[in-house]
Amino acid sequence: MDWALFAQQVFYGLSNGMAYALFAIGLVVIFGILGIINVAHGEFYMMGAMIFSWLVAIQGVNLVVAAVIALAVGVIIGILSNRLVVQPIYGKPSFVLATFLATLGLSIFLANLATVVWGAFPINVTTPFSLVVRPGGIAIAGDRIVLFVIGGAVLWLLMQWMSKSLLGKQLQAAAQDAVSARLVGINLMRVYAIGFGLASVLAVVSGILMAPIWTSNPYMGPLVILKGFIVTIVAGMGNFRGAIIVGLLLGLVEAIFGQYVAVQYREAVGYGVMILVLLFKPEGLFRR
Amino acid sequence: MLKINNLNVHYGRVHALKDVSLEVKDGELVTLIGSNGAGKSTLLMTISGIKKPTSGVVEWEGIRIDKLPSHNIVSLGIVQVPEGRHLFPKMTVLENLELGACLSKDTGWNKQNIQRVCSYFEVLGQRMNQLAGTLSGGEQQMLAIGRALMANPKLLLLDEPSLGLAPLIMEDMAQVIRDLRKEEGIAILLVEQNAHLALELADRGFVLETGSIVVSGTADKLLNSKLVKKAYLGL
Amino acid sequence: MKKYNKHLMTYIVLTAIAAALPLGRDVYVQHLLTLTLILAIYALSYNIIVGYMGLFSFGHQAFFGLGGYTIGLLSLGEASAGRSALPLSLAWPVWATLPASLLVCAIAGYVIGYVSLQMRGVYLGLVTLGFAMLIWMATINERHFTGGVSGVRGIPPFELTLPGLPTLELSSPFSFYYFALVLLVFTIYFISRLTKSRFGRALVALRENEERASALGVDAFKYYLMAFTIAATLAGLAGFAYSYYLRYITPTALGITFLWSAVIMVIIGGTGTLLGPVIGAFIFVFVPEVFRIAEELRLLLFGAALVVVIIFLPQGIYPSLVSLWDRFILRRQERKGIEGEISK
Ligand SMILES: Nc1ncnc2c1ncn2[C@@H]1O[C@H](COP(=O)(O)OP(=O)(O)O)[C@@H](O)[C@H]1O
Ligand SMILES: [Mg+2]
Repeated sequence: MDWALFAQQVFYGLSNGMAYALFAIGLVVIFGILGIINVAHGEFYMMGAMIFSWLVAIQGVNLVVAAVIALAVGVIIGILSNRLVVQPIYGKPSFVLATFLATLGLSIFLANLATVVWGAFPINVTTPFSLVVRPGGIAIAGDRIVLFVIGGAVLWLLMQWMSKSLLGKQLQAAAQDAVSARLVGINLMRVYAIGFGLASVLAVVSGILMAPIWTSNPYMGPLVILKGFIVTIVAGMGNFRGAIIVGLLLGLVEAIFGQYVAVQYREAVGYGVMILVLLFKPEGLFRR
Repeated sequence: MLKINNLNVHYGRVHALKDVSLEVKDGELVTLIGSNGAGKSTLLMTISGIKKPTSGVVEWEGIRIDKLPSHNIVSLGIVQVPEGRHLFPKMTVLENLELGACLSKDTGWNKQNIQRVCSYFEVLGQRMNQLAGTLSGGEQQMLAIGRALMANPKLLLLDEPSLGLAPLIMEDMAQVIRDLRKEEGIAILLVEQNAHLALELADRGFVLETGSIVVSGTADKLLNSKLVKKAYLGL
Repeated sequence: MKKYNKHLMTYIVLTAIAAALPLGRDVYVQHLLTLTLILAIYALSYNIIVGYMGLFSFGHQAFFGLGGYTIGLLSLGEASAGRSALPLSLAWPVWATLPASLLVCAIAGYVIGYVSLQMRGVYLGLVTLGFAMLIWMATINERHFTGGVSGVRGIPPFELTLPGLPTLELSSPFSFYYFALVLLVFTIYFISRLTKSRFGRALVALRENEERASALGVDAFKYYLMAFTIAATLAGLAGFAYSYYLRYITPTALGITFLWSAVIMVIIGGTGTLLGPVIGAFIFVFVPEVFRIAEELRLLLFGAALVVVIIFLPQGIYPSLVSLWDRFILRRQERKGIEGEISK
């Protein structure tokens, strides 16, 4: 067994997994609080990655400024989506499916809007961190380290904020029991707007962090959202800690499977696992 | 202070409340009795602004509240303890209490308030860091009332607080309701299926049957009315 | 009885209009019309699940693509096999490829349905999506068998030889249009019979209230599985026509864009009706053309339209039109009634 190769795949897999976790946690926030699945979450990610890449690679904007602009646009898109697409149908019969379809419409809209704005070609971006060091024959890309550090920090901050701040607790309360939340005086509409804004920030952050690692194109939303579905389903819908663990594991398993079993079916592992979990343990592997 | 006039509420085609009118005056303890499905919870949810009426007026201290969102109604001092407790099960007792006060910014006040709740319910003081979902039924009911007290209610809406409680605990709960009313002057609208208990506590009462009020009057009058005796007291 | 005749008349008139549509148009319009009919069959098949079963599958594109791939692979002959570098050169004729592709889709529908129909709601959607993604991925990866991303090319034209008759070759959009129309009329007739049968009534009972219908002894799983399999088979029929018409098939046909198309056509047109999906297909193909909308703006527009329809016309365009029409007629009749009263 070639241990360097193995370690290489572990590093590669876990760093992909960090992006999956970061992305999926946004889906979890929205599902947990509103009980809906936001299909356009993949396009929020795509928008983050595209805006950032376009600003940095083509307009030559400073990294941090580009990230801030991408985040701002992401938050606006998130809040507008909630206001214009989700809220009008909130509480109507078969609301969950209706929002699924409405956000599907939104995702088609955003993907094609991005094509109109940027064209269908992928954008590649390099950062000062885009270099590779090779300790002991393992290639370690700087961008993946950045992803780890910032991604980990964001997840940690998020967990702290959710469990410690009053607003975070209000979000949790709304997720646990919407009627009680209203009865103690929580303004649900405000909480939903905050939840949507927060989720889109998380999608955009993962998009920005992945932009230097994968190339970005307007059509990557569906592929990313499918990863998000896999993670949230396997973890159990609405489960935070579970989504982080499963996200990391999914990246790891894909990398190991790709290296040692069949590289062309690397992406298939997730779907297989998702189907099995849905059939045999539909509440997910982790309790809420 | 609370005045309800000709209230009608529908769930789709189901006419859940039909021309209901009632009043709760300052510091009064009023009870609403009715069997399962009569529309009691619907009435409380409508007062709290969770359910919107199809017609009629809900007035509180002279202003109309039937079109206000629920959080505004809480901030006006009408707080409900819903049927079946409805705590935040995966949060601690302390967090549940904090959330009860989430409309007030004054943390000092809130600390005092927690003390006040613990003076009514000593057990809660010993269980502060336990998850609400793991409390016993009686403790959950205490926490539900405690959480409502954290919002400093002027009118407390209690939906079947005795539901599923052992007789001894029920007695404790009755005592707390008396105290709240006496010592704090909080007006209470008490919804009950247990007519004995309710009429023993209340000044006045209403009987709701399939969405309409059929009898009303002082507690004594209701205790002696034929209908109440037969249908609700099992005499 | 009278009402039934009236419906029949409506359908005969509609079919006659449809038959006249491509006459004297240029080839491009004929092409669009043919595409509309094929997509209408696909939309109708999806509507069995969404409209009549009241469930959501997000894997329907797989059956469309499987139907197309089956005929593509089986009909390749020596000459075209060389061109697409695929090992198969079976050169099966139409009367063999048609049942084969329907059978493949029926089996796939039965198996996927059997596994997934334990679920409801969004979960059902996600399991079926998972299956469809696996099939899509296999199609891309098993290059030697499926042609990979470039798909199957050089499918021979649709040729039907019946004993004693000249060979029927449909190689132009114009001739293929009538074949597609026959398939569409068959599909509509089949679905309308299906929905009027005991089976169809049981499905509607399940859609309205699964618990109550089950309590009355309707075996939900059995009916759902049956309907799901039929829907998959009809999607295969659409894929069959699509593949023969365009004479190539690529993984796109079982990818996510064909899921989007199905959802758009059915939701915008209107679920649970026979004409809704057909109108949806027509709008899907023609509206962008009429407004001369660039290709990349097309889906942008439909994405937005999907949102608008779900918010404002949750039933879809066709049922909303029908109820508007009914109200209009009703009001006219009322007015006539009143006038009648007055004149008396
Ligand atoms: N969410 C709801 N949807 C439809 N009908 C409801 C709903 N909630 C209550 N109802 C109906 O309204 C009536 C009154 O219910 P409720 O107010 O819960 O009665 P009570 O609290 O007196 O037991 C019942 O007939 C019940 O079936
Ligand atoms: Mg009740």
